[in-house]
Amino acid sequence: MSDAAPVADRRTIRARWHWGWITPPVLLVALIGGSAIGETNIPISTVLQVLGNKLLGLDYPVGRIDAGIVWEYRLSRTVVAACCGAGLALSGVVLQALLRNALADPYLLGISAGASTGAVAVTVAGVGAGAVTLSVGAFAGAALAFVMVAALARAAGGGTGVRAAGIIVLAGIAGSQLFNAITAFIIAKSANAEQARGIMFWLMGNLSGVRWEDVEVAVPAVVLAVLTCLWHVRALDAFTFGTDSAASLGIAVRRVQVILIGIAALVTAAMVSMVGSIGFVGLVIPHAMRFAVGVRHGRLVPASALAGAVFLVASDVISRTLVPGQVLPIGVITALVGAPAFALILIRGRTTQ
Amino acid sequence: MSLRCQDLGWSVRRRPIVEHISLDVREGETLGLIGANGSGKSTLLKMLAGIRAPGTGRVTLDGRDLSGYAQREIAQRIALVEQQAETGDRITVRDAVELGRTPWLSALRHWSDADEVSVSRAIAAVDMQGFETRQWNTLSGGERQRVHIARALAQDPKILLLDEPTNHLDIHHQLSILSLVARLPITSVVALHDLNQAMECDRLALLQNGRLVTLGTPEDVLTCDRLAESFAVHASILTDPADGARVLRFHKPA
Repeated sequence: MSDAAPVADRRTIRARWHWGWITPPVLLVALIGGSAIGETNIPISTVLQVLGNKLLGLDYPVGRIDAGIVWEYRLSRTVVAACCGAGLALSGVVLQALLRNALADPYLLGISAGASTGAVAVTVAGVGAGAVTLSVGAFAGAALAFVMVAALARAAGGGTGVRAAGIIVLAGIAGSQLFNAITAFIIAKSANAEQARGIMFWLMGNLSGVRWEDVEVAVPAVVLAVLTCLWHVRALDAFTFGTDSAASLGIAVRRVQVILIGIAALVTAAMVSMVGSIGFVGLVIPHAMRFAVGVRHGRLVPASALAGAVFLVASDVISRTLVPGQVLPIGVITALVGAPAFALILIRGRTTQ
Repeated sequence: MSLRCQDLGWSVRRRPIVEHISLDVREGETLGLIGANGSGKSTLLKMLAGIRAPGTGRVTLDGRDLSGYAQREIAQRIALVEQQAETGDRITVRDAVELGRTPWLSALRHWSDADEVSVSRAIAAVDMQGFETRQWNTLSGGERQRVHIARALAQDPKILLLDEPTNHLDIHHQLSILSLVARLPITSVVALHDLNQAMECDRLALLQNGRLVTLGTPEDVLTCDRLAESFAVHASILTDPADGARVLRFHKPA
């Protein structure tokens, strides 16, 4: 017991200094990298000069084309990519912790599919007659999908045990299939060929259409999610041994579930409405980070948000540069990189246990 | 800190699991809950712990209805050790015990030396020093049970509720956990299967089909007639020559 206190001091100091100091420079490097690298590489000095001109009102002489590419095209896109990555990774952390299921992520539980359906219903089928924005439609779809999946899991004999963990995944698969079918139905019924092609591309995850207006949605959504999760890190930890155990540790289970799953649905919906559904981030990043920083959410939440952001920025850069003259859907890259990475993590985890 | 329940009931699809249970847990006592499988012990404990809302009746803590307390306030007073609480997370023993401090912490009230001391003391109380950095999945069933008990102790509760805490434990640790619970200067309610261990409680509540059959001292409750009725066994009551204590030996009814 004599050396317990210093150990704790060291640990809390490490936990507190860790992400607070690491996050800003890493994010900055990712954003600059995302702005500089592309089909035409732009020197970092030029990127910094553009940033200086735009953000600090400086007056560096920068070519107008370079400035346009960096500011109008790449930077907004990179910021949104970072927000999407962070938001989806956090959604994964929250859903995995609260549902006690390692496979839970917004994609698997049908939230992404519901958001897609909502977005398509608004844009293609004209639901809401112009009064409803695409983001609102996506959120309504995401919320509806999750409520349906949760209700189905409950009706199928949910609860807190091991069996319930399996049931929520099965219900999620059923929900995803249903909403994907509805999406396909709406597209087939209402969209013309040109629209359909654009939507299919968007559904696979696509950052091409992103502009600064999207940043105004993405940044607040992700900041809200990060702050909410940080506020609830102890509650997330308390779910380690299930909901009954969390309740006996003083967690208002229902309230925490509604707030955190609501935030996860909100962030997912916001991201899907901008960039379509991007798989793998919500599933892989939290698992990778558990290996890197452990299972306690005080570290897992900031680490996952940061790693998700960097991962998606990097995926976006790859999607823009892998095939010359063509931009691949980012969902393809996240899956191509994510699947083998996940396999490696699984294998490594097995041998180190 | 007084815990009492009045006319407590809970049912699943109209099938009653617990019915009309009223009892008073006396301050400082160790109250044993006994009864055959499915007699409602776990459900009763969950309602007493405030993690399951009563279907009928009410639970009061210091005269106030439990539903009037915030969940956190309950957890600062009552700790529950469930029968089976498992995790697939790669959590260490120390992490698991630290969870017990959750009701005392918030986003604004950070981990302190006092929390550290509570955790270390709880780990020592269940004889798990040296296991702090072990991963949960490498622990045996009995070790996991002891960690759960340490987690409950780290909550610094006034009332400790234990659902069959000696399951999975070897005989040495069964006895040490029970004597630890008896020694603790707090109120405890323990669901037990081993009736000889139940003899060590201050009082026993015997449950049958969700109802409270009787409540009293072990000598009054554990009679041959009652055992035959509630557990369908014949019992002989022997005397341990070492200390004169009563020992039960059971036979299958002919």
